[in-house]
Amino acid sequence: MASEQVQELELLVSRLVDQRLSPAEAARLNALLLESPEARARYQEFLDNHEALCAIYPGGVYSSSLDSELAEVELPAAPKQTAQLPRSAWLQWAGVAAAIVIAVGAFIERSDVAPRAESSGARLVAAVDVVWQGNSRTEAPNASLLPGAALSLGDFALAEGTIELEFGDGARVSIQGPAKFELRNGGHIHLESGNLVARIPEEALGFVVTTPEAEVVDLGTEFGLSVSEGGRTDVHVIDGLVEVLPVRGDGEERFQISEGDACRLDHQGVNGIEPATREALLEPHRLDRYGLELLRGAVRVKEDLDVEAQTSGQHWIDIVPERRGVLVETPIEATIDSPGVYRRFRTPLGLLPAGTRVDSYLLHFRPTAAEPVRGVIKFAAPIVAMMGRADRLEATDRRFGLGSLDYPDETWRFRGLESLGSRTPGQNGYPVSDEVTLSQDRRTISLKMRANIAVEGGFDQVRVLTLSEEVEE
Amino acid sequence: MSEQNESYGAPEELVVQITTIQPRLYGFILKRLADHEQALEVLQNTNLVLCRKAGEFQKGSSFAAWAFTIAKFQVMAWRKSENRSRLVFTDEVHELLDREADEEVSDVDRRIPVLKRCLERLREQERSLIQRRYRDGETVQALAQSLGKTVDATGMRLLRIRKRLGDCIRARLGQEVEYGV
Repeated sequence: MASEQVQELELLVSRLVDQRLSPAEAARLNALLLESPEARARYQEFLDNHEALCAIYPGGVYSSSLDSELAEVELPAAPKQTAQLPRSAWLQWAGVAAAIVIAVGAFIERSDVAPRAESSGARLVAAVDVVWQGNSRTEAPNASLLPGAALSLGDFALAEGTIELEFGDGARVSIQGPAKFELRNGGHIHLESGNLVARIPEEALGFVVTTPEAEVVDLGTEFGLSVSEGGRTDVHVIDGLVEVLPVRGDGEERFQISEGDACRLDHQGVNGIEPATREALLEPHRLDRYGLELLRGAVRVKEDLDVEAQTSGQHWIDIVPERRGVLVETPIEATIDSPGVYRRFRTPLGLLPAGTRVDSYLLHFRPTAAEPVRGVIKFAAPIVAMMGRADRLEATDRRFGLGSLDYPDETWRFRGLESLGSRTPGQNGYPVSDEVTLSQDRRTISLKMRANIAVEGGFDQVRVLTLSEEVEE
Repeated sequence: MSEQNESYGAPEELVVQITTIQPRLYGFILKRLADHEQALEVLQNTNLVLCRKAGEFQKGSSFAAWAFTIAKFQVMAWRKSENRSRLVFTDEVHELLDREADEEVSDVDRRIPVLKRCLERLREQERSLIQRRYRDGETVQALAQSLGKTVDATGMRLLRIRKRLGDCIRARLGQEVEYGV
């Protein structure tokens, strides 16, 4: 082998390991290796050394094959959740996946608690179609409230959507907007206006909600309130017993109402009314209606799909519910079909067999910020397939999508998830990719979506199919 | 590899094993595909198979040998499914480059302790550049930017350091690689 050829080979191989080999150079490398055994020996020696270097300094490989940011997120010493996971032999990876889900949770908890604001003891566990309103009394950035966040004391205004709060003692409160409420000391909510349903476990007995007209004390399990702008308060007892103390009285008019009864308090006093069901109070936005159990982070349910819209400020991962109970007629190639951490979405890794009946969801994210956006979604039923490649999405739009939704056509160049190794390095020179973790029980996915800042327009989408119990109409 | 013949007990142990072997698997796959992105994609597929087939792993046998065998199959599967135009090597070259996994693994095993000594002998600046490239995973572009050099100049510096390391290893292994024609 001539020395010029040796030099050329060394240069090509060095460019290869530095990820700078052009297609023409790749062809040249192939030709050199084909014609000379010496070139092949040199190539193998050079790459054996490269492998040895990677083994000594594995950081670079880990940062591209695993999550480099994970290292910055402190993992809880003994996470409760992992203890509950069955430890079947083949699921080592699921442990890692669970750790990441927990890490995301920990990240959200830490990042969203305002450092000096006093905590109300309430945590936002779900937000569906939520729009927060600017706040008059405090400068609290309500718009950034994400599921999983601990809420501070103070005023909140919900322009639309439904939120679910959980208190330390287990009380769960759903509030439907438009609503104004204040979180006060001692796990106490003041509802200025809006609809609320409270479910109270035994430990939280005595939970208090006040309104402009009444103080309502729970004496057992579930009640609803509807407060109009003027303060008129309807109390509906769904299950158990509540005690009502009208504000207008002198304290002597305290009374109890029980299951299936309702009353209205206003300037005219107290009158019996037709009781409303939980559904009527919180319609139409209930998480379980969509087959969802829990949302954390920057995720929300959205019933429309606007691919042109570029929301300013808040960056959400939208969950768009699609058709339910669809029978899979021909096998479908899935990008993701088993638990694990995924940062590459090009290879179809599984096949969803025909005969499966599924519910479909489209997750949509319009990347605008440089910071990754994170979210965790727990589905009621196990996920059987996910598709994150543009051609797979397009091929399944008609089968699983809703006629009322406006799906992107093929003129959109970037649709689907961004695989690691997209040619545009992000900050610090790290490659940019989206990341999807599917939990061991296949019900929870954790997402980390990144904007590919080098690409104007385009969006990240992935279609999620869960096992359905419904039969399509 | 050093953990050869170690038996695998708890699932956690296997996670550690899989995690530890990542750089070696990457290197092994890269050699066969000559493309970073494709190598990472096959590495992910290999990891999934390793997890899925953990039950089939024979306790007491070499984890590394098992993992590299699976990686080899995954490379072949990738070459079959991937668009020809994206593959760097033709089938012929791919076959010519093929080696027994065992031999290849022990060859790299031998190099690691020697390479450590060779790294110590580098000049501080050179070692730091190698560390940033490998340990910190910085791209050549990022390195060039922070050094105030062109990307090509930085690439050439890395090439020179790699050659020096290669010479050092060859000398210490005490065997001139035979380049028969």
